[in-house]
Amino acid sequence: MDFSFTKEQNLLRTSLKDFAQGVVAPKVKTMEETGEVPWDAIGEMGKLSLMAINIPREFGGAGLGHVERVIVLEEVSKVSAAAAFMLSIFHLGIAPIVEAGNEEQKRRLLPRMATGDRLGTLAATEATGGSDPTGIKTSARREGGVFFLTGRKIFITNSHVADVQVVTARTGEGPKGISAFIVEKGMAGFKPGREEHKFGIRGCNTGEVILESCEVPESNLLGKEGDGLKVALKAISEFGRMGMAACAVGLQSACLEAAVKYCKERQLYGKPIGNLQGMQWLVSEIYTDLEASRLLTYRAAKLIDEKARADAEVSVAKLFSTEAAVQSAKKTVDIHGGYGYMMEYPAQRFFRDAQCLIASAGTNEIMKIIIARTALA
Amino acid sequence: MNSLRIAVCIKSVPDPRYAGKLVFDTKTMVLKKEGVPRVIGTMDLSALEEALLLRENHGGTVTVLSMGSPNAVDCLHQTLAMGADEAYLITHPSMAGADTIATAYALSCALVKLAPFHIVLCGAYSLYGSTGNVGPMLAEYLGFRQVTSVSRIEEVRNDILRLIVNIEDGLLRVEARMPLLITVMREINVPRGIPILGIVAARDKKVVTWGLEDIGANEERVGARGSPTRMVNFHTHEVKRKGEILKGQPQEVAKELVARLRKLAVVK
Repeated sequence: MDFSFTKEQNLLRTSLKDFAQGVVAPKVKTMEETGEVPWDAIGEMGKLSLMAINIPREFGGAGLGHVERVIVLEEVSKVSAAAAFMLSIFHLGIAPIVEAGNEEQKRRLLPRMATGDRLGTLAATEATGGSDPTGIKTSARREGGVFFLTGRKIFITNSHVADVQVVTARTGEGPKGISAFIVEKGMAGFKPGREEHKFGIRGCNTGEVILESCEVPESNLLGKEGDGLKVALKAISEFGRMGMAACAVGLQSACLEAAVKYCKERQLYGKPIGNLQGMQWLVSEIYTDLEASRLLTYRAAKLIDEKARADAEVSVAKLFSTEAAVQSAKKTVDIHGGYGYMMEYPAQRFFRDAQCLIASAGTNEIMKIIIARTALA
Repeated sequence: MNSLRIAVCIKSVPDPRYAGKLVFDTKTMVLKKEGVPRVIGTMDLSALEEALLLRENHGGTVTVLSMGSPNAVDCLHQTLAMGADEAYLITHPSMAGADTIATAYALSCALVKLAPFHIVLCGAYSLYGSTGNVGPMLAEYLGFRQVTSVSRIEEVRNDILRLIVNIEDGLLRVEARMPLLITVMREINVPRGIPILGIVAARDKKVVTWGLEDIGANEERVGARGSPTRMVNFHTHEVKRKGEILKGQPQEVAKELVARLRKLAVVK
């Protein structure tokens, strides 16, 4: 079993480290203080083709796999979980078009999404349907060659930022009555609604999407009518959950770095507190959880790249890594003592950011249901 | 002028972000770099970026060369991912321990093999040796005109470049004719990142490794044998702050502080 990365993957990591430190890091303070989306960082993401990573080469993408995607998100998340989260959801908006789009849709949309000229998201969640995606009520009424979509989506990442949104809506009853549509900025009846104010992952926009008889041409139907649940869930599993796991791995890395730095610098009883067993136990727990998270996440990514059925492995990676991120962030705050509560230190940001990963791309309770399904089969 | 042939000389150096992990062996007078990741020298990166910009504006090719140990190949691979057309690693056991003159000699042999070039770009100096010697020495070996410490290439008109040079108390505008060697300062540009599409495109490019015979170099003139300079001593220089505390009422202290700063010509 070879756990090493290829030269190309190592070069990719070098590129992302430089990007994260040089472009993202200077934006973190403003993102935290204002909650504003870092548009120039998004521009730089486009220049490096970070949105293109999994888009096939014939559509202007890099044609790389999930392992490479995890590397990208891990490195960005080490500096800013919010920036990594946002990027992860750009990928999530692209994935259904790559998977289920027809040739015309791919040629029309993917090249500009690859450059970051058009940004994406997936809008599935509603007040009546989150963990239960079949609970959605947004309707899609067909008249002639146009679908009229009416409904309201909530907790959509990049709601106010995305130009292209893959939206699930009901064309019929039951789970097979859900279809997926490509809704583009500028279409009549489509607008962002309320913007949410989160206590973490700040600078990554989250909000409502409102559809009021939104006119979507039938050429924007993704796959066939009734394919929507399958299209959305595949993307959420492979891109949404893996994205959260990767963000959690990067965030845990940041926790470890901050914890070690503080343990070496802070002196008590005439010595660095890293000499104290109590601190050593906390650091070793953060270290161990990070190693385990990293292995689980990269293994799940490799399985997807090998086209293996990996629902359980992806869920395990997401469940473990995000829970570990929350625990490690708390331990990092604890290691910092009173300073851990102060805004000047990054530990509090890790603590606030980690929690958002738990409920994203499917709550961890849903992950346990998926895992149990495999374990008990 | 259309279609410039541009060469860039880079050095693979320990990542300055890990400088704390470097250990200087006072017995062998060698900086131990094991376990420290290697990166392209900061100003060499600017030299590469400037070469890529020249190619974008005027057409041509960008060839990157580096003389170093085999592990420098990763840095050269990076230059291909950033957009260089070709990359050459000049390496041989006899080249170890080279000072700047031996380095410049080896690079010049390789450049002569690959000639002709219109422009050769180098970083003004590395953050480690900081001699700034290799570029000028290379220009002499090649018989090129040279302009050092360039902070802007203003114009390329036929075979003449107009350049801005950093001098001690200002800037100088210089015109120079090709073939020309230029050493560049960090502020000349902001180097591009390594685009993912570039990493994928670099699969079709290969770093060519050349040894002594490939470049037709004289073994006596490379490496430690070809180095007239030798490290004889090493010591760290401690920088201590004066640490004077001004006491008194805030307004008096502020006045005194401003007066002292004016005296030191730190403020006007």
